[in-house]
Amino acid sequence: MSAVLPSDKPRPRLDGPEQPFWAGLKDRQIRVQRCDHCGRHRFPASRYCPHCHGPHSHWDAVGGEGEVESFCIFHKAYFPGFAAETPYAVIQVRLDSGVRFFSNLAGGADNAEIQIGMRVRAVFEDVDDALTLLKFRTAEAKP
Amino acid sequence: MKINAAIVGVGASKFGRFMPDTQLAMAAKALKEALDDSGLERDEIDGLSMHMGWPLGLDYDSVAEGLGLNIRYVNQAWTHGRFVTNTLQHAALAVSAGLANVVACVTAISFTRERDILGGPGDMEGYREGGGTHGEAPHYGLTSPAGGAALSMQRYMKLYGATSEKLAAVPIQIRQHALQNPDSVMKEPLTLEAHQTSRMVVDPLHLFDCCLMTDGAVVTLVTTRERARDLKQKPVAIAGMQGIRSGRDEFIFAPPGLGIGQQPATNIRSRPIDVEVFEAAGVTQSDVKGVYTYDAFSPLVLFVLERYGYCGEGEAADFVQNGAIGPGGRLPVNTNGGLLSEAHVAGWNHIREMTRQIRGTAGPRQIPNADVLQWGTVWGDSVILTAD
Repeated sequence: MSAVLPSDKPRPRLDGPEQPFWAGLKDRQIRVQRCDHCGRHRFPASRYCPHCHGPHSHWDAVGGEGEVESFCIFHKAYFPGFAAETPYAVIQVRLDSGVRFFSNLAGGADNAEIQIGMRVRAVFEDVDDALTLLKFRTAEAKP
Repeated sequence: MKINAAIVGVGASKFGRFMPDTQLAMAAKALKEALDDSGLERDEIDGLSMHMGWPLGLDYDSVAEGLGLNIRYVNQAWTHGRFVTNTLQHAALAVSAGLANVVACVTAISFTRERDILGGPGDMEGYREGGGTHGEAPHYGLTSPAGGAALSMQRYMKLYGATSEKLAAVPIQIRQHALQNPDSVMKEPLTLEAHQTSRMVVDPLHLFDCCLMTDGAVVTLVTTRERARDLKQKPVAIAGMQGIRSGRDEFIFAPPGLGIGQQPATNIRSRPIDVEVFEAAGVTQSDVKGVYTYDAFSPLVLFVLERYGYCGEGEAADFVQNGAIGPGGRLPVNTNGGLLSEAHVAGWNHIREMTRQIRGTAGPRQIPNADVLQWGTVWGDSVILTAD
C-alpha cells in the first residue's frame, strides 16, 4: 500500500485484485477481466463472472471509447490535495465493452461542457513511476 | 421463527454540534432516559445491539463495562448508516429466539470530533481492498458520501427531468417538521431561495441537500410483545422486516436500476424484493401513515419513495411537491426533522420519533391515527412498526 500524506492526493491500492489493471495502464492499455465462459468483460475484479458465474477468466485489453453516464462537480475539497482544482468534475464512464469506471476529464476540460451521453476516449495520465491513472477526454478533442 | 418483538423504551442525549460529553456519557444519558421511559431496570437488559464501533466509536465491551451492564448476547456493526436497520433487526431476532430478554440498541456519535474520517484525510475506508463504502474512488477526487448521491441525482435529473428546485421540496418540508420539534438543531425555516443560493457542496447537491453533522446518542429497548404488554408504555410492535439488499444491482446511494456504479440501467425501480416488508407486516403502502428514512442527502428521499412503491419510476420529484411529505401532507416523511434538520444520530432519532408517533405522544407533530409507520432506507432494508 502506498503512503498517503494529507497534503497529497490519495492514491489507489496497486496491490489488490486490480493489480493487472494498474500494470496495464503503465503500458497504455485498459486491461479488465474477460470471462472464459460467456466472453463478457467485467471490472472491478471478481472471482466469479457476475453474469454467468463462470469460474475462469483472463485479463484482456479493451478499447478506450465510451460515454459519460453521469457526473458530479466537487466544490468542496475534502482532501487538501484537491483544493487547488475545485470545482472539479468526477464522471462515470461506460466503455463500449460494457465496463464502467469513475474517473475525471483530463486537464483543461470545462465542467460546463460535460453532458450525460457525451462520447469520450481514454487518456493515460502518468502520476509517477508507479502510478498511471485512467482519465478521459471528449471524443471530438484532439489527443 | 416468527418475529416476536416490540420497542418498549426510547431515550436520547441532547443533540448538537461540538457537544462536550464523551460518547459513553451521551450513551449513559440515553440509556437512563430509555429505562425511565420503559419502566425496566438496568439489570433486566441482557442483550446489546450496537450501531457504533471503530473507527468512529466505542466497541460493545467498552459500552457494557461503562454502562454497568451484564450481557449474554451481542451484535455489533460499526458506525455507518447502512447498519441502523440491521442493528434493530438483530435485536428483534435475538428476543424472538430467546437469546436475550431485553436488548438495548445503542448508538452514540460524535461526528463533530471525527469530521476528517468522513471523506477527508482521516478516511481510510477508500484505501482498503474494494474501496470505500459510498462508491468512493479517492484518487479521482470521488472522496465523500455526497459524491455518490450527487452522481445518482445528476443521472436521475437527466432521465426524468427533475430539477434542483423540485428537489428542494424535500429539505424544505423536512425543515417544517423540524421546526415543530424542540430537539432540532435547525431552528429557522428553509426557503426555496435560501436553498437555491446556498453553496454547492457537490453539484447538483446544495448545502441544504446535505445532512447535519452532529453529536448525540439514542438508546432503543426491544423485548418480546408479551413482555411489552406488561410494561409502562403502549407497545410498538416490530410487525415486519426485510434485510439489506446487496450485489451488483445495488449502489449505496442510488435506487435499483438507475445505472450508477455497477448497477444495470434497467429503470425498473420497485421490484418484488423491494416490497416484501409489507407482506411480512400484513399491510400495504396505503396503510402506511408516515415514512421514515435515512435522509443523509435529499435525493435519497426521492429514491426511497420509488423503491418502496409509493410512486412510480421517475415520479418522486413531482410526488413530493405541494407539501405532500410535510406536516399534514398525504405521506409525511421524517416528522422529527430527519438527519437534514433535527440531527444526525444515524436514523435512531427517527426510530425514537416513530415510537412517539405510534404511542400518540408526538405533540404538535402527531400524525392522526399513526398506527402503521415504515422505516425504509435507500439500500433496501426496512422495518414496519405498528400499534400492538
